[in-house]
Amino acid sequence: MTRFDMNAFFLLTLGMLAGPHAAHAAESYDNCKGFITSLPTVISTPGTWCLNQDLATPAASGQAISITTDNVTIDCNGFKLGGLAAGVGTATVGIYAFNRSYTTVRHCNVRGFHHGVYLLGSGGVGNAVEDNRFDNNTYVGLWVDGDGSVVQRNRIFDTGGSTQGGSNYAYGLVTDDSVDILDNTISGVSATSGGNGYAFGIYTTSNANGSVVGNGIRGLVKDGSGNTVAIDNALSDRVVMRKNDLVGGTTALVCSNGNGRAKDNTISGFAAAFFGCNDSGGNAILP
Amino acid sequence: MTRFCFFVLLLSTSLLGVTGAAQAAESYDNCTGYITSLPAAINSQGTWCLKQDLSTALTGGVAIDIQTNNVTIDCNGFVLDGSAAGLSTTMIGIHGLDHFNSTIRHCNIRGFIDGVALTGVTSTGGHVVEDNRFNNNTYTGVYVSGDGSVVRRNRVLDTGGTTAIAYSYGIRTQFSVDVMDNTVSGVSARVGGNGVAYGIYLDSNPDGRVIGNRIRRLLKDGTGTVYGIDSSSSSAIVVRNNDLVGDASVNSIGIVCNTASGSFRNNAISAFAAESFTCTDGGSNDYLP
Repeated sequence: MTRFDMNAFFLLTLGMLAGPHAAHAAESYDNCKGFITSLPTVISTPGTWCLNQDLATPAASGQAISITTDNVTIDCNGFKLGGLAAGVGTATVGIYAFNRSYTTVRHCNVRGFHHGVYLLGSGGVGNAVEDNRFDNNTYVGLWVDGDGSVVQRNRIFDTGGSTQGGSNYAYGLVTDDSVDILDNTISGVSATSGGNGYAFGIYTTSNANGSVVGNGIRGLVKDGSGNTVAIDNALSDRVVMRKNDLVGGTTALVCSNGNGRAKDNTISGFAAAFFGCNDSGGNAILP
Repeated sequence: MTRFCFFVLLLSTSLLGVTGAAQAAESYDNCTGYITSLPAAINSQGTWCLKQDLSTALTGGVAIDIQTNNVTIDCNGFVLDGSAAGLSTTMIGIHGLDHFNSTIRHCNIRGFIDGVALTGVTSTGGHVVEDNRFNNNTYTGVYVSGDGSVVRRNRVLDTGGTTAIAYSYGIRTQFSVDVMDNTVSGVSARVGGNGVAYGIYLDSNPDGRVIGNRIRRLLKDGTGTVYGIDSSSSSAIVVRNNDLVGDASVNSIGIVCNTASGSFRNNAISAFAAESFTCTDGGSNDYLP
């Protein structure tokens, strides 16, 4: 009897701990301005636009969701935005905006697009991409531009394999301008076979002073004479990389100059830990 | 046996309660009522929600005035907008004076002289300002006063430009307040006023913590300067794990303490003329002029 009660106790406790996480994903629709019920769609009115069902498109080009105004939130409520049917030759973008400010994308499962999310243009600011899962996007998991933007708590799996011309490289996450990249997991980035391409976990450009903190990057696969880089900062300056866990590849951290700081990272299985960056201490470097 | 079952029930209820608060973030289930127009006065306790964007063109006063204790304003991601009043506005977005336990969350607040101002004496604290976005407020993004308060996980963008005051603050606190995991990007002093731009400013903080914040794009005017984190009349504050980038201007300082009992450790401090002033170096700081 006692043994039965203890089992019940632990099961119930575990259930209580596990249940709310699942419930957390079951978002409310209360603040939805409207619903996206088919693809492709264009969002031209500010507000929170929600999914209340899985959506997919076989289109091989264009954008599944195109945002054409500022202050738009796409909340998928855990539903899927799928483009897998177009195959690895797709040029379709999952969620797209150009020079828009304060765009937010959250709670989405985005899969099978050339770019999962593509918030392009330095004319926009203050964007946020958070709490999403990206898998099997063929070129870039997500791409965010604009000062004051943040990319946080996303899981980006199995990116790469595009057969589109010029897409033989693969990128888990790309940003342009001063963007913070926080607490993301990037697992599996593979350059297209036969293209001698690079695989990048995180690639920032023109990041004058952003922070790259708490990310986990692994499973980078180059092709042929290509290389793998966990975090590459091109045309960047005083970027801070701290508390990232990086496994396997050619070079772990790349900076444009010594103003880029690397601190408290765990770097394992890379041929070189740093290129250009300043080792600011606290880094654990394993062969 | 009965006592054991009661314990299980109590534990289960507790676990549900803890997580329930987080999952209700975008739901209206716990709303006491709704704020549907501006200006609004809140004079009964509970969670008061937005369910639409709200804006005002008023140039003075308060958009949402909290007039009692234990009030939560949950904007559910909607916008509270005062930008139509222009840079000369003296309108405050959300204000409370001498009350306990105000909470502001999930708001997009823009275009006010102060986005949020929870002011008062030492004893009226316990405030929480979390998970908001503040942009284009003209003087201060967030101002919180009162022991036991916390300002966390906010994005405070492009603050400054008021025609009324020369200085500008991303986050400003008074008394024993913790400031954690915020991004302050863009704080600009008024043009022509020789003003100072502050990322985070602590006043009279005897023992609070400033942890895990990211501060950058600070812009002084004329003979003014920039401070990443500044404290006045404070003592044993702890400043840790912050990433600060200045403008490399003369007299700019990354972290300023009022006495040597204030300490800083494991911060990345870049492009300030001086790493710190008066603070005790607790180690592992990375400074790049």
